Amino acid sequence: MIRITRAGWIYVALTVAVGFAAVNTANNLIYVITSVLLGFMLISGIAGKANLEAAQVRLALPDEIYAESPAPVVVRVRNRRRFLPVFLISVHVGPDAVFFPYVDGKSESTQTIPIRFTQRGFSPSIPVWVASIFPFGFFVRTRLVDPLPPVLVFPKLIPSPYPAAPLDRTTKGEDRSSERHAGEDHDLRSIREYQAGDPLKKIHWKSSARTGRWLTKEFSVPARDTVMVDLHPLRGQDVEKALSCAAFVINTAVRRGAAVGLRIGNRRYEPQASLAHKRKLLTVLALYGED
Amino acid sequence: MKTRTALLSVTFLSAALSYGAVFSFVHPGAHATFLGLAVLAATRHFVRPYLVSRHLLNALAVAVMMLSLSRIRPDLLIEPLVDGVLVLLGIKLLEARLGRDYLQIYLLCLFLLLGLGLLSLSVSFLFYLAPLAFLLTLSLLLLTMEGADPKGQLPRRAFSQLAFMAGAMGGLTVPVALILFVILPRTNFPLLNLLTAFGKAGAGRTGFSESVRLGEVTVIQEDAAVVFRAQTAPLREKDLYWRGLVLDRFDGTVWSPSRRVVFDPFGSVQPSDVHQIIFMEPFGMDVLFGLDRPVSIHPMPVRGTKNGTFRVLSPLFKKTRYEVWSRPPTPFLEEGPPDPDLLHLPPTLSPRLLELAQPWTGIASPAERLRAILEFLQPPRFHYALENLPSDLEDFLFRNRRGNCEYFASALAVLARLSGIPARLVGGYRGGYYNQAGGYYLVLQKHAHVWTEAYVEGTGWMRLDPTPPAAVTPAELYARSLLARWRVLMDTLNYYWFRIVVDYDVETQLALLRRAHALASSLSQKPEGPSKQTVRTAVLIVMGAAVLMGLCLAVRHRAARDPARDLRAAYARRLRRYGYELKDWEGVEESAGALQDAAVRERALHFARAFHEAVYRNQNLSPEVRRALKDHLRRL
Repeated sequence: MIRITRAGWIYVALTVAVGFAAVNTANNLIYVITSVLLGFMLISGIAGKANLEAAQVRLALPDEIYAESPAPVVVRVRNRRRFLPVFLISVHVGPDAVFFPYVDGKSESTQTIPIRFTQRGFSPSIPVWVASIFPFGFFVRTRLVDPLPPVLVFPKLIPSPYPAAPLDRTTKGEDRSSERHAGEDHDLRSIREYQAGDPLKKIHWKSSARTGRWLTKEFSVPARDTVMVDLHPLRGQDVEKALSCAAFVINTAVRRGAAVGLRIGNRRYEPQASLAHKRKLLTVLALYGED
Repeated sequence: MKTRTALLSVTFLSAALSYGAVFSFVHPGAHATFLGLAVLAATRHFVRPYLVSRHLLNALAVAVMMLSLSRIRPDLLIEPLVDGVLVLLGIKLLEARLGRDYLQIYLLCLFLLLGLGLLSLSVSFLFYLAPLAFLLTLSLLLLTMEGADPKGQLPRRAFSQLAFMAGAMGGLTVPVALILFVILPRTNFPLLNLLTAFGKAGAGRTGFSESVRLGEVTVIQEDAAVVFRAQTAPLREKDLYWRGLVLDRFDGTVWSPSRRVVFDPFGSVQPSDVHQIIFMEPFGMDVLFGLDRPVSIHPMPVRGTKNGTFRVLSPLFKKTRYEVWSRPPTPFLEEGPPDPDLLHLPPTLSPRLLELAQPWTGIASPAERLRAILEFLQPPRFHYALENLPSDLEDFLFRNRRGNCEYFASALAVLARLSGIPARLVGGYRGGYYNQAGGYYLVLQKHAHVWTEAYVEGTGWMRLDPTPPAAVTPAELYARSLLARWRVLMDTLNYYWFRIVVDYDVETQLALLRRAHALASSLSQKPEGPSKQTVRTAVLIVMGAAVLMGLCLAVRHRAARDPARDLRAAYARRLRRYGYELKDWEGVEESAGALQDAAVRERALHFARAFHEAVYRNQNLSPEVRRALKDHLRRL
């Protein structure tokens, strides 16, 4: 798809005017100028198209997406061409966009675009397209790429009192409560993708620098507490808020190493302390009322 | 590196190139102003930024333009404009901030180059145009980068890649433009001309019509339009009469052709006849022109007359190609005696003319009679003029003795008839600009001309051109202008366009088909075995190619070898002289230490240390280092 910019319109108008003059005067010098103008437009169009075609776009979504908190979507632009670089590519994901001024031949450039999902549950698929004004800013070419697939959005996190220990957050939103557990820093269990709210000191800087993604260290902490979230007593309140509070409690509990269970409607999930379990519970919350 | 820095550098380079192009044509004041502004601009953009008032600069620009416009004289047209544009370029360089400032700078650079083209009237400006086009493409790319990502930075590599792209785009534009130039639609009737033609209530284009009124040719000569191009070898200047129509009826002011049509347009062509291919422009005429005097015309359906004129059946409204064979030597012979009408004169003719012709009737020989009349019509008695023409023939002969070709021709024809010699007028074109590159004559309406033919008993029809030979005709006046020279040069393109596209007809197609057919049939024939000679040549060629390839591979292999390994091998050869065999697993330094002779060991260690330093520590075996190491080896 092509959109003509203002400069492009001026160029087109100029070409048409000169072309008219050429036909009118039958002067070959003006025909030469017209041909050069047209040829230049054609060649620049081909260059722009090749530039856009060479950009291969891949999007990576974070593992957990919560409503209302910006989810860092990693945009990778890979240049298919071996020698020539790709210039001035902007990747649009819905209303948001990131700009890649230069990607060298056979290499990759990565940027993060914060995407905000407003509602829990399955978000509709978001169209993704690449656009470029390369080479001369006369035309904006766009190319649709694979859209962002529907993603499961967990409920918004609303801080609510955590049953086991008072909530302890820094001004920047880092959860500090886990710092008090002695010995936790010693046993590195795994490294996982960064999630909103992870303390800065738990970020694995070396791996993050190496991979270009934010990675968080996870430590093994013996489960000490068991938390059971029961959505029944919350009936009568705002359901969305209740789901949000529940999500927050589940999230916090797992981060602190507590086993967490959920009772919702007539379903009951036994407490466990694993990441997979947490996601299962959050999925239940996300899809509450929709299934 | 910052995109902006690169953009500014390229912009300054473009400006410098354009300045260099017009350097020798510029006024010293403009030199000084431009250089001053350029230094200020360079300081501002590269060394120390400071603010300048755009209003002040704009006012300055207006003042500069006023000054250069006021300096324009008819004989000094382009130089002041070039000076003005150059100073404007300096101002814009100082101002450069927004995208449009840069675009204006590039436009000014192009203007300067155009100025060079007009000033030098040579193709030299094309040599500047190519690098400038490259620089402009590159700066447009950089401008787009800067516009999309202001204050952005790019790796150094990116700029060389951008330069490559600019070069590639420029290079590719040329063939594409060439193709477009050939296929762009063209019309025979320019749109705007049609509009103006309607405005003139169907006046149409000027040209020869059925009749010639006295003074009318001057009107035709005002037009610089191309009438036809005649492809032929260069001809003698005195033969360059392009015959169109014969005017044999005179009513006192207007000459017109009598309608006596003989259907014999195809005379037999002789080998000495001049062959021309005429490419006729559409003027709505049915007359076909050819070098005086045409014998045969091909392949148009034409009506020919015995007086050597040819007409098509309907007026030509498209570009037309036809071939003509002509027999330039005069006098010409025509079938049968001349028509008695060719002595006819209007009864309204002034008796003064009869009186004037009276003395010549006494001369017995018609040829002598004609010579006397011709002499009478020459300067200083009569003069060639294009303005203030006489009202009629009597006026021309007795009072205002200044006229153009048809006054002279009419006077001669009328006086000849009065003295008893059959005479008529011929309308056509005289001369033409020969285009060496295309090998053709370019004939314009400016070349329109009328001359006289008289019949002398026993000799035939003689071409007589009474117009003074020294006369400065409109065609000559036009040829003196720079525009015309430029036009003849550029017309080559027009001609080839016509030749390649318009001239591509069924016949050419058939010729191509025949050639393809011949090729196909020669391929289908059973091939004979190649001769011994051919086989020997083929073997030689193959062997030569193999040797060449082997050499190339050897050179490549040599280049690909590891220099450190080579040096080690050389070192091993040296050691062998001293009876030491370097083992494969032995290090260079180790082996040097193991040498018996202390002096040799010292020199070997010297090499070994340098070798280690270069190969293992610095990992640098540049040609200089290699040379130094080889020196060590030589001393060993």
